[in-house]
Amino acid sequence: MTRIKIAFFLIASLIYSAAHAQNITISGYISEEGSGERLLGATVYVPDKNIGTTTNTFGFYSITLPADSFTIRYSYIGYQPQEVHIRNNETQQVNIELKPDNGLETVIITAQKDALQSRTQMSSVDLPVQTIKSLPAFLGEVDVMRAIQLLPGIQAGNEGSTGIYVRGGGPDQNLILLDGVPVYNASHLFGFFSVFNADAIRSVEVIKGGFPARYGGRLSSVVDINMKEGSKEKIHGEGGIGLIASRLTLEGPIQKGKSSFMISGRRTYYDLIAKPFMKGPVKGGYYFYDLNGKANFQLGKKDHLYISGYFGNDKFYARQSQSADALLNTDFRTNLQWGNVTAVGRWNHEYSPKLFGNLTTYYSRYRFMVSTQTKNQLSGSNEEYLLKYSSGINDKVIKYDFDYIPGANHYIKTGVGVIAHTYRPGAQQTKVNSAVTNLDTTIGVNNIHANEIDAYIEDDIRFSSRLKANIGLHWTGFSVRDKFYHSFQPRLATRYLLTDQLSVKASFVQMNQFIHLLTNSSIGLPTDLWVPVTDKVPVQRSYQYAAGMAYTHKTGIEVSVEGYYKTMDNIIEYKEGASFFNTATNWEDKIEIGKGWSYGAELFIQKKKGKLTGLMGYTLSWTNRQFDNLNMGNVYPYRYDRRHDFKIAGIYSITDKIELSAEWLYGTGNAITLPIAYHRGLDGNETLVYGERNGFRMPAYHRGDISIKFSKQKKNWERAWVLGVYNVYNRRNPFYVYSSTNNAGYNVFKQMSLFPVIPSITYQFKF
Amino acid sequence: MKYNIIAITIATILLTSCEKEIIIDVPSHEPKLVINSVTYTNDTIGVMLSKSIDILQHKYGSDLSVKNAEVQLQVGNSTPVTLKYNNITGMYESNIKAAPGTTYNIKAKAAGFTEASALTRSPREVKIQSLQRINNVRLDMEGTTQDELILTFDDPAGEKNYYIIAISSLYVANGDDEVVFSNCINTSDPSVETIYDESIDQNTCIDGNGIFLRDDLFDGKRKELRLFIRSADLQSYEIPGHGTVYPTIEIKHVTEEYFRYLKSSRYASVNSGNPFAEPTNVYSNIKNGYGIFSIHNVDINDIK
Repeated sequence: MTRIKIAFFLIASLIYSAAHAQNITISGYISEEGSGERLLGATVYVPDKNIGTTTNTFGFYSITLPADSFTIRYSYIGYQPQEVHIRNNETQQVNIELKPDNGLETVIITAQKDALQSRTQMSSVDLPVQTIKSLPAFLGEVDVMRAIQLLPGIQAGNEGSTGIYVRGGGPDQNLILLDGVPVYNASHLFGFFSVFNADAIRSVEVIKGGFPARYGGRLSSVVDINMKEGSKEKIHGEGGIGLIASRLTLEGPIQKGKSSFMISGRRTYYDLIAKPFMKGPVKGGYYFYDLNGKANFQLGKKDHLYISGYFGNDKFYARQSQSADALLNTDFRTNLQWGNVTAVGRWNHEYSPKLFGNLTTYYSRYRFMVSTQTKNQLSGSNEEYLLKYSSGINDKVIKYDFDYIPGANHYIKTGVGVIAHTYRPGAQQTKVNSAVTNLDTTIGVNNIHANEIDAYIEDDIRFSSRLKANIGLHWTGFSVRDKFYHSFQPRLATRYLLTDQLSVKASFVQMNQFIHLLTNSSIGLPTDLWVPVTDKVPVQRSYQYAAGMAYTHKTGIEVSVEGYYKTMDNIIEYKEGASFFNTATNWEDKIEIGKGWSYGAELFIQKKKGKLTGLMGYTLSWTNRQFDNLNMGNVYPYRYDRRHDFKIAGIYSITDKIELSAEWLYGTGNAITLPIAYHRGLDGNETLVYGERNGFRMPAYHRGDISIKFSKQKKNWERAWVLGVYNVYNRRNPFYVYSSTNNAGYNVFKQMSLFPVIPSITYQFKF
Repeated sequence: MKYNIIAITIATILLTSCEKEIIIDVPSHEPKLVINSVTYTNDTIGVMLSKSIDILQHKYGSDLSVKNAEVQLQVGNSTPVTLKYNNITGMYESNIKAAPGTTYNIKAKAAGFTEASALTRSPREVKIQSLQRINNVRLDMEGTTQDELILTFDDPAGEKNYYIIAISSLYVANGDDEVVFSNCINTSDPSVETIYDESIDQNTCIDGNGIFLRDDLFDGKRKELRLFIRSADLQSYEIPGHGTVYPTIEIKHVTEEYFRYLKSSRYASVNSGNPFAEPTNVYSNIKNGYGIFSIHNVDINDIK
């Protein structure tokens, strides 16, 4: 509690002193010229005073300075900077429209915030959407999560998976937000694709540590994805036709200059292509689709309303109809489907030049369902057998956030929110209608309701031109099954500028997580189940310490080096032998509770300007787990403990019309448990003796991908062909390893690989 | 043609997978003796002795038996008796009959192996006190009629006791017969465990070949166990020359070691070959070796 009191005292005293100075305030919005779309993270800088700030998520900025005449410079990477001279010594609103710079110098980075070394925030990366789109794509499908896997400290799970493991954390410890709404299952097709359609995305920010107090609820990372707002000036569109999916995005004004919309859709068509080839009585297929939509309305000078949503589904289906004779007809259907729905409304209000408020209300739902139905028609009488299993989670939220900027030395964010969670761990419906039985029963409808309250306050404090700190506190209260859990989570991040290009940073955070994900598949199966803390399963908690340096060379090359140490308590693992395929078992009985820790160093280099751009990341890390009832209580390496993890990606503009990109990834093999000996059991059957848990390593993972894009400007539109090759040198990477016998009858280890070299072609258009 | 090219491409992309043999650096395993010996009381005690082998040196069908060993059995504090190897049964045999409530010590020595040993104490006899069958009491989740079996037995006081109950019937079809165990028995008895250690309710399917109980909740008392089983699984048959053959219920009073061995062994068996399940080692009470040495008693009743 002492730490919390000190933090409160510091924040309160600094706010008081700042609020009593005599100053003028310049505030307003920064948006893109031509579309009116607001720019988040744009820089506002006063060179004479060496004072600056950035726009918030809604493009709002506020800067308070001593009354004087001065010049404000507005800039945003990828846009031409603007300067405005302030002479009248009055508080005023200055709205700015920045013009996109289409030159090669800035083709890659379009969403970078202020310079890397200047930011208080560490362990975070803004991943430009244009970079994501330019990287080689698996099967031609551009994927946000796959691009995130290129960052240091972030590891992919199994081959082909879009899941992420951040600084030794599990797949459940990532808070993935779409327009501020958590997406509970971000995977399509068992994790091979993510649910984010890059055409509908405006910005992607990934935070691995040093979390500001406004974020809470997960231990290891925040992936903050924002959808495009849509142009307020004219209709635009873009799309693509690929091997497995096509997509189309439209955006434009609803009322010119005041409101806009964006709608984007994507669907796979494997099922439609396969349909003509299914000649037998069995018909089946698979597809997934996404729909993103957003509308925003300027309600006056000080109010703005945003409404956005996402709707996506995966579906496997099969149907078999048979007529044995004129009297008996059988119709068998089975469906497996899962999907997310999010809907959010956000209302901004500018209370004063120094105070900005935002009301958010959202709904997020994930649902999984599998069903089989058999209908028999026999001599005029009907029989029906139905078995349906469903599980899921939904959240209903209301929250209010304030940005209060009392002066140049403080940027305070505070807010409070209430979440109503409903967990559906699994319900099974059985329906039988026959001549002898009439039954319709549902068991396991034991929905768990939980209420969560979150409150936070953080202040980005400028102690001097060189020293800044972000001090904050996040509080969570969580009520479930008549129990109330709560926690105070202090956050601290500091930055000290050694020179204009070089800074040192350090951070400490405590994070708590009140929900768990039951999974051991590591591939984002739809059966993965979100469950709350209970009497048996306590709150997850982590402490993370990080320190590092950030440097930006005058050529624009950014370099950061960070070291971190993270501990995690009350994390869960499946018991030995437990399998998620055994759905009959109560989830609380299948798990063990233990602890984990991870430490390591990360190097990240990013080149943003010139014909050749790209990034390179290297991570040296150790990640361990310890559970009383696993591995006889001994420490063992986490499955994704990866000693070396190296990634490099480059994008080269050969001409204005031809762009070449390539990436190469290398990672130490996953840790696995293998049998070391064999003997006969009591019944004479094979009994395997296993070695230490995760005591062995799969072969190392490495892969290279390339892609080339040919663009052509037509009269009113632009088209491009993208040719790509995934796994260009046909590396057979291990998906899993098992013991089997060879032709000579001896036991050997074999690996299963998923993806060989895979070419792809995509047609893209834009107008 | 266009469809064909696209379909072939997609099928290649989605369905191509590949397996190949790889080399993983697994430390060499020093072979150990494997003692497998489970005996009912009043039967003579015998031992199946074999050896473990390095996973990469094992060849399917290879002979792992150990025939030239010295195997000694000690009953209580008496002088150890050396067991004789029987070439026909492949077992080391004694003429000692297992008795309830007695301690047994087994030791096996063979050239090239560290001596393996185990100690067990046979549990006391437990008899079925009563068995009642009530027909057509409820429907299961699939709408099938179930009968209720009410079984009672007396638990010995002051000691930890472990039981394994099995329900089987003789399945007769086309002149062939086979003993089968019911694959789904329901109970909400809090003392019942499954191999998954899950919380059970009246809809949890429990394998009829292994209903595991421990006496933590009924130590020294008469236990009444209620089980629901499909009526069709309790069918009796008329076999010429044998009369009516009824389904049976058996209660095995077992040692803790055997209880743990059987649960973990079945657990490992169920998850065998599942790449997404964490593998599990089978419990063993053999010091410096593998296997199980245990004695238990059984009582069987017909279900009429």
